[in-house]
Amino acid sequence: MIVLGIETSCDETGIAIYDTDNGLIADQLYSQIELHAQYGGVFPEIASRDHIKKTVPLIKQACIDANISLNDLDGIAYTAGPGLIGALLVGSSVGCSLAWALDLPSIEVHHMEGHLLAPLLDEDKPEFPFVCLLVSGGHSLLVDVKGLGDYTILGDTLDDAAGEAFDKTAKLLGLGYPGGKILSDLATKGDKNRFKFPRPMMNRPGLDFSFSGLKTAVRVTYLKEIEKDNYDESRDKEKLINDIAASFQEAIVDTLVKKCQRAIKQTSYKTLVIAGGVSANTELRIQLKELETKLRIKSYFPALKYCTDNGAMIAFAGALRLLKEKSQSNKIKAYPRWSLEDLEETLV
Amino acid sequence: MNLLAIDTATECCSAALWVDGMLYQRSAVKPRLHAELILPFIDELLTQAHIKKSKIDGIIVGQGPGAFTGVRIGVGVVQGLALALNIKVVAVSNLKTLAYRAYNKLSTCERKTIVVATDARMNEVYSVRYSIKGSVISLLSKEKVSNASEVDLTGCDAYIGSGFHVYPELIEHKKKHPMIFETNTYSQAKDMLLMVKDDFIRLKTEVEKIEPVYLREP
Repeated sequence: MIVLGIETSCDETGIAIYDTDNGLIADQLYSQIELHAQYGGVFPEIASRDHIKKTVPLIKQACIDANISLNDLDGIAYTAGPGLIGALLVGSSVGCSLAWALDLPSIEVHHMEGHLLAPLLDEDKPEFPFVCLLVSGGHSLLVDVKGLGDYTILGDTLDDAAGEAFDKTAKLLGLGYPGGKILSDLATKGDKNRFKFPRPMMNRPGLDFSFSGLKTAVRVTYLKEIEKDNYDESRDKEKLINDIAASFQEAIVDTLVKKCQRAIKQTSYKTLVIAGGVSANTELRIQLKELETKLRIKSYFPALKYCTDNGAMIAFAGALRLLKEKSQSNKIKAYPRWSLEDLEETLV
Repeated sequence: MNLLAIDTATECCSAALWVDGMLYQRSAVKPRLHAELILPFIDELLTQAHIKKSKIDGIIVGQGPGAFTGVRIGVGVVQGLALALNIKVVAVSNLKTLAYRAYNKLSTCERKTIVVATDARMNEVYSVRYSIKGSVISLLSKEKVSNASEVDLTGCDAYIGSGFHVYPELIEHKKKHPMIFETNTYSQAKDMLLMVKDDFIRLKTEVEKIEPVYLREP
């Protein structure tokens, strides 16, 4: 079964083709990072305008890469949500009408399910059930994954997502865009023990997160340090920023790791999967590997290129769903808000 | 030649099909539902005309200006359809479509100047002036987005578009110059089809070449 996947939910145009016999046979990705850099964040209308220019050329290129024609496809999967409504509608308009005109099933894929299943693209892949930590710029979720489409949210963020906290903190430190990556790079050069930032929600039971207070703590610390009498910007700034970055990252990673530990205990599962943009974070990977040894569990991360948004995970999730259900819809859908838990019903 | 036209750029979602000299059309004013409506509309028209989708030879699409998301739904749908069916497309201006409609309402063979102004929200209109004679439509001014007071209304024979329904400056003009006008109207796929059908072969292009027209910066 060969499925084309279309991802346009945010600032990446991803087009990929997954073959259930041969794996991923095409994987095209265009990132809009440079377009949004001057705004310090994703500008939704600019994102949509770019998606509509890139989608068709990337589909054509993907078919060339896979050496197939559109008529060889068995289904078209597109990200139907959650995400930016205007951006989502580009992928769903193209994807749904492509499927309709080819008389193929169209598969509405949940963006976070795509991320959650991305580690299954690897040869060494996790088996159900598992706990999944989904951490990206828009989400911080702990999910009980019993099987395809059977998801229970164990914990969610009450405010900022983990990736969002990275980006916002980087912005207030004046680190440029996309700040999260820059901040975690600087963190490798800093002293993570210099500042003790709060670990929100750690003293309470439960698996929810809250990261918005962290950036305030960073701001207060930063201002306090640069106002000290003996602070010399040319001498101290670089080290200060690096140390703040490292201490901030440590606070986030520590929180995520401890919550993962709790989730594993709560479910008694032996497998932990980490996905989403923040799963590329090196420190998080190191500390979760330590947790793996400590709890005698197995942990899985997606390949680095599948941590950020991509078409491969959408094609893959679409293919898995197509094996279970076939729906042919002529209604173009986009759901800017859509809970993973609502997916259950579709597979009953 | 069997041609399909679709338009989702305004509050009105419409589709039209031309098969063997017969025009089939469907439209509905249902803002925010265009994505869900457009493919079912096309399905209905194909059923009425008793043809399969594979028999569509070309597609015409309203490329704006209009609602940003609406314009992209139309272009996105046409991208999907044209890729799948391996056919060529023609993108047309939503303002030109209205000018064409106004000219037809005048039932004349003489040259006429038509002003089009549609509501662009945020106190602005999308506007343009056309000179039309028979089937020859020439642009007198570039399409623009501006305050309603900046629309050039001098010497026009007819005007059309929701802008004349919404903005006091334009409504005032309508009162002073009781010319043939149609204000409470949207562009329609059937007009796009009628305007382009005889010229389709000359105008057709690859689907990658068409782009939405926004006029307004993001």
